[in-house]
Amino acid sequence: MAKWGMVIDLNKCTGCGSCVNSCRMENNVPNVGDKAAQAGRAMDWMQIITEYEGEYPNIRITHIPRPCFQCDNPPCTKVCPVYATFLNEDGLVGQVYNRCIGCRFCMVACPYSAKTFNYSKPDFPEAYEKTLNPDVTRRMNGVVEKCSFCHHRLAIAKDVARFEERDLREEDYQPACAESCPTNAITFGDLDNSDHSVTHLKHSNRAFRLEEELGTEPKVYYLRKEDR
Amino acid sequence: MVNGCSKQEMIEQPIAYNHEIHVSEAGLDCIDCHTGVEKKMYASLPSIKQCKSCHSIMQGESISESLVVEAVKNNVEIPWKPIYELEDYVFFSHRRHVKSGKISCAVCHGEVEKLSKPPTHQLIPISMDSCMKCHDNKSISNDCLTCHV
Repeated sequence: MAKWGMVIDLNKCTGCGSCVNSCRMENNVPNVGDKAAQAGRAMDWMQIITEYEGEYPNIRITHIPRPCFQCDNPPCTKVCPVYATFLNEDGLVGQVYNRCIGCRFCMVACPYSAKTFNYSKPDFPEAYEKTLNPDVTRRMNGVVEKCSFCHHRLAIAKDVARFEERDLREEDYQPACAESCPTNAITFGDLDNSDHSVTHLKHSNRAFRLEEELGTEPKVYYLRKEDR
Repeated sequence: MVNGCSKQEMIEQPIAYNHEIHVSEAGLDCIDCHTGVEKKMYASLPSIKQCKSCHSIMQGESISESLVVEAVKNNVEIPWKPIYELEDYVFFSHRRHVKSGKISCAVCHGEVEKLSKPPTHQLIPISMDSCMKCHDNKSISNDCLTCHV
């Protein structure tokens, strides 16, 4: 069984936001508007956290893209009272929206704040309606949403591989963020498959995972930023 | 279990389409008019282009056909009404089920080819129960993310 994971090279990330926007487009993530965003209700499945070190003018800026880490030992699934979030057979943490009751326990449990709650019914502008992705649901309001590693793409990739009677290749399944990254900072693949680049990258001496000491076993690795 | 996909109200089509005559006499297959079945997620309802290939002139004498011929002449789409519509939170691919799973249309839609009048309701009501039973029988994953993405 594949173990899908991601390696993000912080040296290469420029914080351009392509991953954030492509994720929005791919997964029908609504724009909540200025007021809601100021009230802390902005919804981003992929978020870029910017960290500043040092004092002006000697500042070092690090952009850290943060998807859902699809933990192998996810704290969020353990607190869900209705089995709306769970670790599935592909090793991805699923979120079933029509089952979610909006209690937000999982949001509290997630140490990475990777989950968002949609406070209002998604209001897509008329022109935007035609660009919505038919492979992804439009969530009802009052449910918790999160990055799915573009699981729908995995389903389609599996279909294509089955039709062509071959195994799934690395390039068959890439989430929108990895595909759209202009600097190739995001590498995606099977962490257990030695043919996939992520397997080599995760063993780099720069590799680390966020809050590793919690034992959540996230499947997203970062490559530490180096001074050049 | 959940039964959120069934549409109970009676649906009337704009033209009294006769499935039986198209299948038994004209020798058409479901896929000839519902062209998306093997290629896309959606089976799709027939467009006026499909009707045009046979009905640019009258083939019989029925009033229904004369309406189709008129629509073809004017190049106006016939507003067919879908009987099977899934909720937003369900992902279903016809291609996956028909092409890959090799499931015949009648398994989910019933024997539509024997109807001389357009169906007004789902002959076999679609429910999550029936989906899961079929998945179980064919050893297909019943993981939630298989259908709820």
